[in-house]
Parts: sequence; C-alpha cells; structure tokens
Amino acid sequence: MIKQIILTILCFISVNSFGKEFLLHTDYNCPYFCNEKKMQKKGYILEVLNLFFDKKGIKLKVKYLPYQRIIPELNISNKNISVLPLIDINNHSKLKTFKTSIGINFSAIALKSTDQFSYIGIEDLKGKTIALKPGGLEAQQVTNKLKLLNSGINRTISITGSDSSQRMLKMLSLGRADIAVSDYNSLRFIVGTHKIDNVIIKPVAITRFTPMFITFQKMPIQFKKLDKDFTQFIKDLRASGQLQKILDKYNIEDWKKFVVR
Amino acid sequence: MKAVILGLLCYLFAFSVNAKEFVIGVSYWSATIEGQVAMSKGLEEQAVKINKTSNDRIKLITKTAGDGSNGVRNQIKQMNELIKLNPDLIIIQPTDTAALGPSLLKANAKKIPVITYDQFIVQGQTVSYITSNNYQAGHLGGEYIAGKFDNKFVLKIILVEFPSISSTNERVHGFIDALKESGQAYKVIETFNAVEPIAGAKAGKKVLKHYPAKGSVDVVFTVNDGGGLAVVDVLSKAGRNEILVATVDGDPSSVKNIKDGNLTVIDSAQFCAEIGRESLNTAYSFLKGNKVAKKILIPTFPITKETIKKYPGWMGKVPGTFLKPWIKNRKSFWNNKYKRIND
Repeated sequence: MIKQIILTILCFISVNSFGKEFLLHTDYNCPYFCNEKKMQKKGYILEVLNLFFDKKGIKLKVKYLPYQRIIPELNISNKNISVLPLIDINNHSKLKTFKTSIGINFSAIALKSTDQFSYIGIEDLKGKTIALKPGGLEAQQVTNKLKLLNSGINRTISITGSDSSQRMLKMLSLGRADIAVSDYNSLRFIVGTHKIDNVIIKPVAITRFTPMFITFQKMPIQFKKLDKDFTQFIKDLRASGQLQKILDKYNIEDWKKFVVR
Repeated sequence: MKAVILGLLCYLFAFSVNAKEFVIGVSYWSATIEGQVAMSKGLEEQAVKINKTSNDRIKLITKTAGDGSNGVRNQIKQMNELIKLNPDLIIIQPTDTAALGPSLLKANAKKIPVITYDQFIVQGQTVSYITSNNYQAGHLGGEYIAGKFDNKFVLKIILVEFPSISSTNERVHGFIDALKESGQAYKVIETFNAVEPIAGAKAGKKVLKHYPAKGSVDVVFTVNDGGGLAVVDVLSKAGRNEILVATVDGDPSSVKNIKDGNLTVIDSAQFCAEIGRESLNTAYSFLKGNKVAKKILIPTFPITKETIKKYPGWMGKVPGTFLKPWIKNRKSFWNNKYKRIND
C-alpha cells in the first residue's frame, strides 16, 4: 500500500514537472531568436512563446547552442523543445510538432541598390561571389547547386555567428561579396533596424517556403492539450492585433499569408 | 400593341444598361503540362458559360508563359504587358512564387485586382488564391503508403520535389505528416528536384545509380506527374517493380500505371478544370461587387486500385464522398469539401 502511495506521488511529481518547465533549444537567429544583449530584443518567436507558456503556467528556459546540435538534444528529455523549419523536421521520423506554425522561412537575396543585377533563377548567380550562412540542409543544398554552376569552384563565403545577416550586408558594402543569400525575415530585420538604405532585399525561390513548428522528440504527457491550446492562442493573438504589434517591432509580415491550412 | 412594344423596348434598354463587359487578363504557365492545360480549359469554359447564361460579357486576354526559367522571364514580360492594357482584373498562374512579386506590386499600384491560382506570389496583395488542397494530396499518399507496411519497418523513401513553388511543398508536408500520424517509421534517403519530364528522367537515372540493389528503396514520392511519370518510366524499364510510387496530379498515364500495377499505387488527382472554373467564378463574383474568400482550396481525389471507378478525370467535377478502404482501424471518409479561408 505504502509502495503504491509513493509511486502515485512520484508519478504526480513527474507529470507536474513536465507541465511546469520546458527547455527551448535554439541558435541565435534574429528576428526569430535574438541575442538580447546585442539587439535589445528577444526575437518575435520567443516573445510569442513566452506569452503562451506564461499563460499555461509553464516556465520556458532557453538554451542557445549551434544549430547542428539542436536535434540530438531533443532526444534527451521530454522537457526539451525547439522551433525548427519543416525541411529539417521531415528527415526525422520521430520528431513531432504542434499543428500550428509559428512563422515561415524563405530565402532572399541582398544586393547593392546600385547593382543592375536581375535575379530570376539560381543560374543567374553563376560567377558571383555569394555570402551565406552555413548549417541546415537548405544552405548545404544551395552551396552544392552553386558549386555545380561554377564548375566545381566554390564561390560561396560562409558567414557564421549570431549576427551573420548583418555581417553579410557589411561584406556587400565592402565589395567582398556580390550577393548575400539569407533568410528574408532576417535581412528585412537588419535593414529595418540599422536603417540601411543602399541595399535591396528581394525574396527569391532558391529554397523552399517552409513553415516553422514547435518541435518535440519525446512527447510530454500534455502534448495534445498544449497543441490544441497553442492553435487557439495564435488565433486569439492574431485577432486581438497583439501579434501584429510584436511583428512590427521586427519589421516582418504575418506568416498567415503564406499558410494555406 | 404599342404598349407591348414600348414595354419590350424598356426591358431591353434596362437589360443593356445592367449588362457589363469585363476584360480579364489571364497569364497561364504551361501549354505542355496536361494538368495545367485542363486548368486553362476549365477557366475558358466557365467564361463561355457566364457569357451564355448572364447579361454580362467576359472578355479574356490570354497569354501563356511556357516552361523552365524562360517561362518565368516570359511571364514577367507578359504580366507587364497585361498591366499596361489596364484590364478589370488579372488572373495568373505564377511560374515562380518570388519572381512575379514586382509585377504584382505594379498591378497593386495601378489598382488592378489580381487573382492567383495554383501558386501564390510572395510580395503584393491578391484578391484571392485558388489552389488544390495540396496538403490533402500529399496526406492521402502518405496514409495509403503507411497502410501497405508494418509500422516498425523503416521505409526507405526518396522524395522527388520542387522547392521553389508553394503547392509542391505542401504536398511533401502532407505526405510526411501522414506517415508520422500513422506511426510509420521512415528515413528520407535522398531528395531530387523535378516537376517536368527531363528532370524526372534524370532523377530516375540517379535513383538507379545511387541505389542499384533491389530493396534499397521502398517508396518514391513524386510531387507531380509532370516529373513523376518519367521517374516511373525509368524505374519500370529497369525492372524495379518492388518500389511503390505515390504521386500527385491524376495524369491519365499515371492512372494507367495504377490500373496495370506498374509501380504507382496512389495518385492524388487535382480537379484541374475545377481550379480554372473556380478562378473565373471568383473573378466574376468579385467584379460584380461580392466579397470573395482570400484562399480557396479544391479537394484532391485519391486514385487507387480501390477507388479508380469513382474518379471523374481532370475535366470532371468533384464527386461524392466515400469510405477510404486503406484506413483499417477506424472509419475515415474522403473529404470532398471546398475549403474557403477568409482571414
């Protein structure tokens, strides 16, 4: 009998602890997750998630780590979560996501406003020096395609670190790169924040339009309920205008335009 | 008698006053991809129907961009020509989700309403976006494939996709989600990009080169028949009949492959003509001053050996619902509803 009571208490503590804290694994990738010390902003996803988990009485801790290490970390505990683009989720059959997305990822090119270059397809980048951020399957695919276009010569410059988009734009202005290929929202955020007016940002279809989702590997007990509540939370946040206020701080558009589900 | 003639004249006068002519510029993508041709036929068929059955007259100015990167360049040029003509509305099937952005912004600046179908455009504002329920198309494929294997068996999957357009991405998302929801173990062993026959044949040859042993690939998911049929052709000629193919579109040749048991086991067909009809109907309704949905999703039909008799073809209309025989543990009906999203 005592054994059963102890087991029940342990079980209760365990269930309760899953519900009270999540550890979000991410890299710095403004405007999604920003380096608050440098940017004086948290990132719009973190702002939205904080609002959601606060409402649920769940503490959200954040662990910043290199992108390549995020997915392996998710297997360690059912408290570990991340926000990932679907392309990286697709290749892992055990990763589970909430149904409602929390943004969308797609690529853009940045070029000097004085440049007459017109981009239609990736073949137009032949012979150009391209600055891009490595890591993730898509960057690898772009690098491979560019290498193929340039007969095996690698003309890409990898820019790493939390302020990679900003440094790419600096390379453009210094003439060390012809084009920067990065995430559309990241480039828009940098151009807006630093009021850069000698650069043009153009969305391009080099990489896919991939929605981002809150991702788990080990399912927390209350997964289904959280999933359902998150969908309603985003609907309410949008309807109240609060979501747009958050997005405006980062100079980005609501992703609902690109989502057809 | 005089009164009757006068009354008739008045009626005819009122009739002609209310009748309007609407000029609609249309930019099609391909003249060679059969499904897309069916979409354009549906659109034009609907214009003829409206002209016959209403007081109004719809005049279409049509242009076709063509395939490949030249098609994208052509479409930008043609779209700009249409904008110069200042039509009442433009309907476009974009060849690229990003490249047509500047043209759409130009149309927005001239206050020409634009409707897109099949794909959306990233920048600018559109009145409505009409497409197949592409997520459903992929999902039907994924659930059918999952029904063919033991959940614990790790499926070795090849994706033949096309990242630069939204509709094909949704198909991949649906396919993968269905596998996950079914609890099916899988591994994506390689991905190729192809939506037309030349790239499809190349992808097929690479599959054979990279995975020469029988049983080294279990499933190929192709995002359309444009590229997918060529993949099936290459694999079939090499005798790789152990591979199951799930695809999307409903091309008659792919339907024949299902009938003949030639690799393809499911093809989630688009109601191509219906997409065209709905696009024109939406345009007409908007021009008549009605509120239209921002996004309209047309259902897709799962063509399998079990359902093939119910499939009406690309020019057909959406049929009644039915129980999906491949879902064993619960009753699941095919969803034949149009989804209208207003937000």
